[in-house]
Amino acid sequence: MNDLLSLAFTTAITAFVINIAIASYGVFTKTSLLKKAISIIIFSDSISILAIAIGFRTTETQYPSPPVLGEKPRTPSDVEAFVEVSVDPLPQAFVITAIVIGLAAITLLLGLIILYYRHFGTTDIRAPLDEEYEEVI
Amino acid sequence: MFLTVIVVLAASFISVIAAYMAVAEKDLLTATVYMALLGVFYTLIYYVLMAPDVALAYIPVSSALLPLTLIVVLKKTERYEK
Amino acid sequence: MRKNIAVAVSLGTLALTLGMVLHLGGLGVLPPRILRNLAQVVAANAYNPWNETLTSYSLNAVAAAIWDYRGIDTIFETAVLFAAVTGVTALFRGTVEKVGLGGRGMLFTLKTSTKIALLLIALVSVSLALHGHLTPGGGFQAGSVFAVIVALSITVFSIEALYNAGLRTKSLMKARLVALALILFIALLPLAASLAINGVAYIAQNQAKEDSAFAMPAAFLNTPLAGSVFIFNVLELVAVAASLSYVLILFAMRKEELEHALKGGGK
Repeated sequence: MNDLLSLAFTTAITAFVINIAIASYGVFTKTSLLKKAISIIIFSDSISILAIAIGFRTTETQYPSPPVLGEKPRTPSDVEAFVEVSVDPLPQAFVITAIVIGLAAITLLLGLIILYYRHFGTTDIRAPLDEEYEEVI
Repeated sequence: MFLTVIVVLAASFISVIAAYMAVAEKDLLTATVYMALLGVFYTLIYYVLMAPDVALAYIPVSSALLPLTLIVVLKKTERYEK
Repeated sequence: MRKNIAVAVSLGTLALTLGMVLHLGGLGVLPPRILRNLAQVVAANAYNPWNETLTSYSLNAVAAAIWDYRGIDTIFETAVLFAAVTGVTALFRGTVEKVGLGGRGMLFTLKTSTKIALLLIALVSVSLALHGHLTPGGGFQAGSVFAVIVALSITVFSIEALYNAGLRTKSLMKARLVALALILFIALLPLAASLAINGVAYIAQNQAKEDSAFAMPAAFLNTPLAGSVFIFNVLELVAVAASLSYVLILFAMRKEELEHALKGGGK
């Protein structure tokens, strides 16, 4: 049972690393600022999901449970049983804040891109290098 | 258990394809849709990795708020990458 | 061309190294069988009435980690969210809201069905915030779900309908300011209370510690309330929902409203 789970888990991690590589390729080589923004979004999402994958664990007997108690524990052994099957809550706490704050940061980036377009008439990163462009500040 | 493994395998496979198409596509509107697709399959993986909290935060951000903001920005700037 | 080859080779090296690190167990055996020690402490103490000095009385261990065990960190993250949205405000400085520019929206049937969906989304969002300490959910999730209401309204009804419903950028700005101020107030409340009675307390303290008796309400009518976790969740719903709605409205503004701002802003 755990062999199959391990196979799926390793495949998923490999997929995330490949996604990070694809996204960094987009950030480095594409010349459109909007395409760079899309690549950055994919990059940060892949990093977040990699962090969650590191917090995953397996158990001897059953599929692990989310880090939420189903009901109020009645005896101390209930709490111990929960620790036995729960996945790591800390990466999840990190990632939740990172996702929402990343959204706000991305909107700031997109606002800057709109201003760039109003100034240069294009979202291409090479616009300031063109000969025709004259500095009007 | 088998269902879980199949979901993880399929979701990670499709997520790689969606990421590549989002980066390679010249039409940025289509690239945005591919990005939302990536978000949906990541949400599936979040759920299978037993992170329902993160899935709840991620689904509105990745499939509603970010695509809408990007589409508005595309409307205000340019749709095609040169 | 040479640049492309260099990028491709470096990316390939990155993927190879990461793969080797994973294979050789640089991150430990994946997935591990045992929980890490720190995670064990958090999971065991999230709701543990037999260890009163460390517990937070929250059934959701993630909410406990966000608002109790790493409370100050999250408060600063809220401040970062506030700063990012303030940056967007600075970029779009000088926008004027104009009512009456027109905005048809979509078909009548679509509008009616969307109204029902919006009601349900609002219910889900509020219940995510109110039950954040009992079930999966919390302030950040509830806030981003709530912002979907504004996103859907902009696409289906047009931005004009939002103005007519009384949702202005100024009121959203006030809402997120008030929410951040209240979060800071709740975080500093234990300190102020302990100064008044000349005792000891910590910033963002939730339940009583060994040397400090200050405690937020742990239960309400036999339902766990988790003290400050519940209050922070509700306040964070307001802060995140107001911030994201504010950004969405700024982005969705029409040409006539943005003209002045995009020429350089200012008065």
